[in-house]
Amino acid sequence: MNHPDLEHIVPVSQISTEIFKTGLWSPHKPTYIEKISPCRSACPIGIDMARAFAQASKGNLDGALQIVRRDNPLPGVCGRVCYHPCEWNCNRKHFDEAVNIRGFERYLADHGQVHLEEETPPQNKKERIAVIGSGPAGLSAAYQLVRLGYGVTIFESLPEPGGMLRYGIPEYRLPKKVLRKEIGYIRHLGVEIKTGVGIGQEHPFKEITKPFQAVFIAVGSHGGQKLGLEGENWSGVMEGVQFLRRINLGEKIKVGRRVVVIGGGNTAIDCARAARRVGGNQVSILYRRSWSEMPALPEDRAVVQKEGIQIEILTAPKQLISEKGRLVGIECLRMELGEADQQGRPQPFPKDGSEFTIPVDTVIIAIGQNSETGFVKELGMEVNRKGMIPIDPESTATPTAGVFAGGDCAGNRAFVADAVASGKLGALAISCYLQGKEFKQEFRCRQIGAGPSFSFLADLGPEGEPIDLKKVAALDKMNLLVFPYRTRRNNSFSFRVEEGRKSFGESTKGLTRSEMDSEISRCFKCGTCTRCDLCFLICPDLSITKVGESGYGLKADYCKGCGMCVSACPRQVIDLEDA
Amino acid sequence: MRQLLSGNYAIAEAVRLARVQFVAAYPITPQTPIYEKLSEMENEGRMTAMMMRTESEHSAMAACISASLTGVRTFTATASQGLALMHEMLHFASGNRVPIVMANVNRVLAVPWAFGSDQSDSLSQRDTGWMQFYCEDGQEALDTVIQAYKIAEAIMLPVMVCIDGFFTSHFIEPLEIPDQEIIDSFLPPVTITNRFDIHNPAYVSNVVSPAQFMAYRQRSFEDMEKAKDLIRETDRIYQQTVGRGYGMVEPVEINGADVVLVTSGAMTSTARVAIEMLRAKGHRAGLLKIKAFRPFPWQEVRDALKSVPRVAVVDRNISIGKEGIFCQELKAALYALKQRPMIQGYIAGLCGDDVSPEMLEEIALKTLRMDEPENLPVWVGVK
Repeated sequence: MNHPDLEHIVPVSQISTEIFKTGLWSPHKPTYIEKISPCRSACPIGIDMARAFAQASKGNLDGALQIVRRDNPLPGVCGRVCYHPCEWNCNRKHFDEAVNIRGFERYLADHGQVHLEEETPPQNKKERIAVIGSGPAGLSAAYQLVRLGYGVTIFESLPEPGGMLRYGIPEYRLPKKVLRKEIGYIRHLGVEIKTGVGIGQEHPFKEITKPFQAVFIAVGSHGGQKLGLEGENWSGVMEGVQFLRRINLGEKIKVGRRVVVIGGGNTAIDCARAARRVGGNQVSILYRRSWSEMPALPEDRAVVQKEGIQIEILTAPKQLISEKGRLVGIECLRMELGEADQQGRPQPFPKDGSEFTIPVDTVIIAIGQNSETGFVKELGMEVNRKGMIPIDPESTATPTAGVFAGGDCAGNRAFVADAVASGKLGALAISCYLQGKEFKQEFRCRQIGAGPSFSFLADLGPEGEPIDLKKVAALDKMNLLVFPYRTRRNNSFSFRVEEGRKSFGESTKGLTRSEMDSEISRCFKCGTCTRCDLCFLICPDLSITKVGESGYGLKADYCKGCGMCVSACPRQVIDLEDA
Repeated sequence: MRQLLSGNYAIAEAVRLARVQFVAAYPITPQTPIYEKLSEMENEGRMTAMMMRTESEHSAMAACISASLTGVRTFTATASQGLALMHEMLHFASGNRVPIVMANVNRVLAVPWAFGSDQSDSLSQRDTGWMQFYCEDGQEALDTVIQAYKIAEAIMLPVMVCIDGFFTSHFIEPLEIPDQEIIDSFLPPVTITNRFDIHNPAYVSNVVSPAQFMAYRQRSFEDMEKAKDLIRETDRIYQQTVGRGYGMVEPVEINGADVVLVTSGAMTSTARVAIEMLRAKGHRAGLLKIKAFRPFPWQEVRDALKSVPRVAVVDRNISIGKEGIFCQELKAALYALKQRPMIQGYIAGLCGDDVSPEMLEEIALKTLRMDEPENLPVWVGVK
């Protein structure tokens, strides 16, 4: 029997199947929408770390640094001293451990090149702005305003700019050269900084600010609060911020062998570690509440204890004891915690009969600061007992038109990142004020997620924001199967502990290149397309195309809307939407 | 040459004798020894086929389709879940008119998970456009695989050759293995067209209009009907050349029978014993073995059963919601007769449950006692 004629029994085609636009039958289509990473949404400054990590993973450290510097002019500072809420919110925390994001920021600042010629903004606005105070809030406000095209002058009362960064944080935690470098960049971008100009009696506020169309006050909180005990003026009793300032000015301070620091925040920790380095070998910190209420970070507490510093929790001073006009001891009480106060913190109260005495040579009081803001009375503004300037916390505006305030002196949280964030917010508020725009509306369209931070990117470039600022990449929408488990690399100590407590040299090291590479690859880059090609490879209908080096396209005529690409995407960059 | 061989190995010998050029498969009990034996032959140089180990039966069938499109003689073997997994590609094979020959070692489909012989795997593939032949023993399997290539390549439709898991696949029987020269004269080298022409590329499995589709399906249907003549003719030539033939059906002691058992596969051997026992006791019992299931030999079935008063169809399969599948097919084939026998269906031996000569004897006797058939099949052997 002959074979049947194939032509008649089976069809073949020599034309493309592309005439069948099966994609037109589907109501769903994937859309590439980059999103906010949870670290960015947690960062008060709103630093776009996922995109910086993505740049770094391509070997472009300079580009990564540039992304960080869009929002933060002080990456070398924050990379060392930030309390890193980014890491608490890192998606990787639910996978193995959070990425060492702070270590990354420091690495970029230390090893990346700032290309100032590319960053230098055109000074295209006629208005000039005065910033009072050159701490993190003032520097941040000035930096963002100059980038927006305004002329900015900072007035600083102390001899060198930097505020608490210069005079509060000791060298072993933040080397001065790091700060000077970053302030140098800010100056280079066009910010004028006038030091040794204290606002007040010598230079009245109104006189100084006359040539300016707006003012941002960020004078910080440099006055120490008192315990309210007799003897606080004795020699041997010091106030924490003053103590740190003298240390940072290079004064030789004698503290004796036995030092007690009172307080539970960063200042207390810094004072105790500094005291350890200037001769104190029996240093302890007294804190009246328990570990869980302590404002100092757990990692800082651990370092303190490694350096042989005792932390006595639930302990408060009762009285200072003197002998022959000299401080010799401090009588303390053990405390118990009671009901929570209005801020939700449990109130401590003393245990009857728990008195005990610690012999001391020096007591350092670091229980909080006041702001020296008396000059605002010129404007008819009232400040509270801590010297806080009243502002609308959403916009940094004071009751006086054109005057804004941020940082510690406006009641912000006393962390560097929060100060930088408030300066950035002040810059937006001032820009809106000068351009007659409604602040809240302008903020909302730049707002990151539902959080306190926002992006200036749309104001700075013609492309605008390439991402959806309102959507935060969620762990359960990311394809984690592509990520291997890997141990987090921490910044290591520069010295052995015994040596470290003798030195003001920087106590932690930057990450090594290989440690950094490991962290760069550990970062999920949540919400950021890394051109991993998984969508392109997995599409059963070959409907995803590569568009140059930059992204992917969709052949909507053939995409059946199955959503495989959406499920496969490791970074939640693709959404399935109604066509 | 006479040898003691299992049914699986008999099939492997047939594949060797047919000078198959491409084998792709994935292991599954009780088929695995076929592929293993072929591998061994290939390793020893006794067979030159390209062996392709795939990651699944679906891929094995896809590979066979592609290979066959290049014009080579192609074989695969599977069973049960493997065949179920192949399902989509079975349609592609018949639709592309590729003459693949596949051995299916009948095994029950899960769930519950089990291994015994049961035709539900291959009968589930009834409508995929494949020819299906059910063999009684290893010898018939060997001869049928060789014949299948001749049939498939002439009509350009794929063929599934089925044997019973374990009963036929693993039981060792003395078999006659034909000489290579004799098979070469019966089955010349493959002459099917290489449909892959890199100089004139074209696309298979393409989209067509409804009218075109219907025309292609009708053509396949008609070719499958025409295949019946070819099957008969091939069997006749094989008988002349090799000395054995089987027919699409085999009637045994049908003339004047009061009751006829209808069986397929390995159970037929048992039925041969049962009717001898019945006849020894004075009952006029006959047997009809159905070998070809697709195309269904309705003419042969009608001719065999038109004068028989009672028929007992024993199915080693069940279509839940209806009845045994051979019984359904038989009833439909006889419906056009003016005088139809009474037909009673029986379900026996699912999952390799033993069907003894005594059970078949009882089935015949029960059928003889019936005035009317029952509406539903009778389940035999269930405790």
